[in-house]
Amino acid sequence: MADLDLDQLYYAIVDGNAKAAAAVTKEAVDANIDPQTLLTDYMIPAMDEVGARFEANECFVPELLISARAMKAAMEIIRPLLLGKAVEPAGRVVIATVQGDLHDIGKNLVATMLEGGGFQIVDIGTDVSPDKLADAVQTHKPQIVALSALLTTTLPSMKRMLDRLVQDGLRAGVKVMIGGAPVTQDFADEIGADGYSDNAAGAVTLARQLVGVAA
Amino acid sequence: MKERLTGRERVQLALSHQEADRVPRAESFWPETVPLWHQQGLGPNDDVADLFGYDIMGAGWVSHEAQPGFLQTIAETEDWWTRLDGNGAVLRYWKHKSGTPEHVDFTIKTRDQWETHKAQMLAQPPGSRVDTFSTLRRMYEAQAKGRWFCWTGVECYETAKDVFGHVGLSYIMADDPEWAKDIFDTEAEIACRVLDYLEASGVRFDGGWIYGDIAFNHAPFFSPKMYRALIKPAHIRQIAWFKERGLPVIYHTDGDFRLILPDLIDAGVDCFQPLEAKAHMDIRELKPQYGDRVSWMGNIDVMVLITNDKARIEAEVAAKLPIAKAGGGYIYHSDHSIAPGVRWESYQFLMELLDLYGSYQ
Repeated sequence: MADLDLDQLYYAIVDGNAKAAAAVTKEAVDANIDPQTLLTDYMIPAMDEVGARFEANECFVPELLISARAMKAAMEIIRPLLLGKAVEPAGRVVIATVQGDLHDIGKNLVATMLEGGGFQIVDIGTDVSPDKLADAVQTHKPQIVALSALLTTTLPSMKRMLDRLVQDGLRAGVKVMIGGAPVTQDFADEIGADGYSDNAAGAVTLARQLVGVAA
Repeated sequence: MKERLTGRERVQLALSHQEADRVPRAESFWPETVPLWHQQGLGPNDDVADLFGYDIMGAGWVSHEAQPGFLQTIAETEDWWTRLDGNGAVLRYWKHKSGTPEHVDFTIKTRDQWETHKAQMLAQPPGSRVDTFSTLRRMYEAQAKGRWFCWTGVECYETAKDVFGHVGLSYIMADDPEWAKDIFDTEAEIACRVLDYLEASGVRFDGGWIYGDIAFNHAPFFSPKMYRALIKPAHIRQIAWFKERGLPVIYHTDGDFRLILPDLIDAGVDCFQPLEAKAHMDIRELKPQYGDRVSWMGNIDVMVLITNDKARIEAEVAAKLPIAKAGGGYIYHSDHSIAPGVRWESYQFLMELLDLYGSYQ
């Protein structure tokens, strides 16, 4: 195993090569390399690089997706090994598309990138009511709630979601980040959300800022 | 002083970068908007297009499905239904309101499945994909009203997305470019076959208004390099159908598509619509940058209109229209579509502003 070059894992994820990512990860695990090291030193930095390129318009949705797929292939190998260790995720995120809106592409992309950034994702779906969100926050105790809306007509649902969290005494315990086509920073400020991002990679940076985790 | 022109003349002048009597206008609406306006003061028999003198009328929407019109309900409640359509896509829709559906599943996942699907697509007679009678009727109506009559159809990325979904199509574009190109070329072939059929049926268009959402708020979905290799040849082919007849083409895409805008011009696009303000598209920057290489349509921010604040609406129009209309090359449209939150009174006010700021007299 002297020839094992873990940088290959980093580049396999950056290049979106799932087969190579899985092969290097398997080889590393067989060589008793700490899976936590693989995750924090190679896999998450690779997805961070992809995210940075995405934000800079140096890579686009197809490249982002195949990198996430490569990350997932590597994760599937190390996840069972991480279960036995006291490894904490960067944070837990409950993510949803708000009530009245069935659109799920943006939500799914953000969830994929957050997972690649080391966050644990609880996806509670589309057309999510304030009741369902409150239940999920009580059950899963996330650090972050991420809400998506595509339609101008469903923007008021975001405010109702936040109001419900306040009403149930849950708001102080979570950061709320929002996004979607009609959402702006002004709107986020107006409804009292903690942050807004206009793209999936930016959402990872924002989530880290909100929970105080360094990239 | 310019004489009052027909809508057709107005649009033709705008697309050839000449000033008309006023800025031509067209609009798109959410399905709920005009019915709501009837409750807010719009007369029960009033037609908004006639009332405000819209200059464009479109027709000829094409189904690209392997089984045009096929719909099988898989599940439903009082509020929504989940249906399998003729593209093999399983989507969840609202029953009583508009909105983008949830992508539940796309059943065409492999190259072999695509080849079967493609064979079915190509075997369908073009006449089964379009309502020829209503297209002819719209053409006669447009001619009677003096409006610019265009084909409103879809381009290859948009129709391929309906078969594979954004995610599935993105994987194919990254993993198997040759397959992706075959998909886009096939979609363009379907569109051109239907255009030939409509022409043979007596339809005569003044131009094309081709829909293809290829960008989101941040950027195009794919790189300029990928666009050139996979999609541009299909765009060139579809646009060439119009060019060969000396007809101009308006291209619709939401989002921030500036990175591939020069390639779209190179593919033959004459005018871009709707120029979403929230996606950083700004006619005040674009028009000076591209000069008379291309015309523009839209950019009046719906997020401003929806505030129903007259001062803000006037500020939006006053800031953009004088620059947009100078020297021709501009057609009014909102920067997306008029949502039901825009009140009838606000829209009337917007049209008054168009009369004021959009006049060349």
